[in-house]
Amino acid sequence: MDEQAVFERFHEALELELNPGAYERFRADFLTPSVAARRRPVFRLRFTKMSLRIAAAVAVIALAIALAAGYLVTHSHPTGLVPAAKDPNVVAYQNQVAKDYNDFVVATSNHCNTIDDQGCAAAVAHLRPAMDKWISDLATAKTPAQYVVLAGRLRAHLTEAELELNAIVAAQLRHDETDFTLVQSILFYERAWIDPATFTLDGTYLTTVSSYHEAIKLANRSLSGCVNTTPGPDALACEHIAGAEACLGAAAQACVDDIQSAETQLQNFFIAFAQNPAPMPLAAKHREFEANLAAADDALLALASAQMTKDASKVSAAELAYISAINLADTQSEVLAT
Amino acid sequence: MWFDRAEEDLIRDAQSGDRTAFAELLRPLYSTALRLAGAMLQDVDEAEDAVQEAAFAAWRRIGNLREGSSLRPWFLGIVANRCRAVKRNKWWSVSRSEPPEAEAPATDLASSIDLRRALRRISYDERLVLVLRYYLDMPYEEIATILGISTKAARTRVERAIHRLRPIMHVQGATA
Repeated sequence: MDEQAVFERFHEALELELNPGAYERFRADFLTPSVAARRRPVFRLRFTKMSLRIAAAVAVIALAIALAAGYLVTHSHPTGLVPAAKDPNVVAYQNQVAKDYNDFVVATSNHCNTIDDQGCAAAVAHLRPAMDKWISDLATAKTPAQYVVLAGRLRAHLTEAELELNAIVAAQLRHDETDFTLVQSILFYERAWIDPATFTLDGTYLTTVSSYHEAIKLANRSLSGCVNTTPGPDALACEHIAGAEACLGAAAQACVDDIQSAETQLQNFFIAFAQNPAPMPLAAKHREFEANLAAADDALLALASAQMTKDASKVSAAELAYISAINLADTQSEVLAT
Repeated sequence: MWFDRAEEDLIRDAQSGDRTAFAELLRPLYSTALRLAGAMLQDVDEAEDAVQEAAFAAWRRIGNLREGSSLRPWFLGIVANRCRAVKRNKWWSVSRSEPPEAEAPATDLASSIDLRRALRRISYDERLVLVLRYYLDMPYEEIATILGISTKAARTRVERAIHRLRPIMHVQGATA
């Protein structure tokens, strides 16, 4: 069989009849003014197009996925993806991350999707040991140098997710539907953060930036947009939070959306630097820079916590800590980029 | 190759926050992205969801696109990453939904089913390079850009992946 025949076989086998109008649906969602004004894409997406699947999908990502699925998930993980030439310590670390992630997925379940779900508390209790184990492994593993910061961030987000899981159970117990929905959103976003970080650490996330220099230049531009000039799409949320955004009461959901976007902005940097470590002459300065990015990320986690406890003074403190860390990071990125 | 002045202007506008410009940028790419996601996920609804999520993710990362870079490989890389996440979360359903084995009398249909089944049994990365090369008809240079690897490495990956399918493809030196 020649190569032309291979092309034909693939076209024959894989051609699907795609849903017509997909681009138009995306465009309409994307350009909807109310969405453009405040809401973040991920959430918006879930609650428009997927209709009936959405309730389940939010819950799936918030607390997620079927127990019975576990066996297959565990046995389907592509541990063989790592190139053979890699450092065996890195491979061992990546395999550990992949195993912990799969154990986590196995322990999740399709619960807590409504306030009336009687199995929510038990599902959270069932999930907790896998999360504790993962957090513990991240703390004690021999983490390869380029992954140290991102692994630390993942640990912080998993720890925060545990608090959020407690909060959703508490909201259910006191029949507080508003709080339940808010925490559900926060958990949904937390899961959306955890996955790309994990896939970067286990070495299966595709690279989108090709060098350290490029990564730092992009980070500098994005941070400057937030602090000094007109923000681009990735820095709008950063600008909102830096402007002492209201995060309690009626403004809570919009603030949750902005926290998630700001966390994603930072995560893009962490992933890019995990995939493109700083060259040795810049390593010390870069560590300081990433420490400030991590401080900004911690501030965002604290802001989400303050939302759950409705503590106005902690909201203010977290926002101040965030802008302070972002300002420092912006200054340092300027130095590193030149 | 996929880059022209109009795209450059649209990218600049999108990077300044112009949503309409961004939507226009994606218009010519959307069907390719859907075909990629469809081939990787084998589910048209999930493919549409994955591409839409990738599009929103791309909007938030548009500032990361280097000046002078083409949008297409960058966006398709984001789609591929999104599909990977979907597969990770849904392997159980994928594994359960293999087509019935004994109901493929016509030769063409049988060979298509065999190929789809074989593709499910290789790794995500192997499947991805084969879909990019033989289904989306991409040159090695573009595959390399999407994957962030050299052209030579892209060619090697395709060759290795097709070799893994050799029993089903009856390939003899097909990837030269």
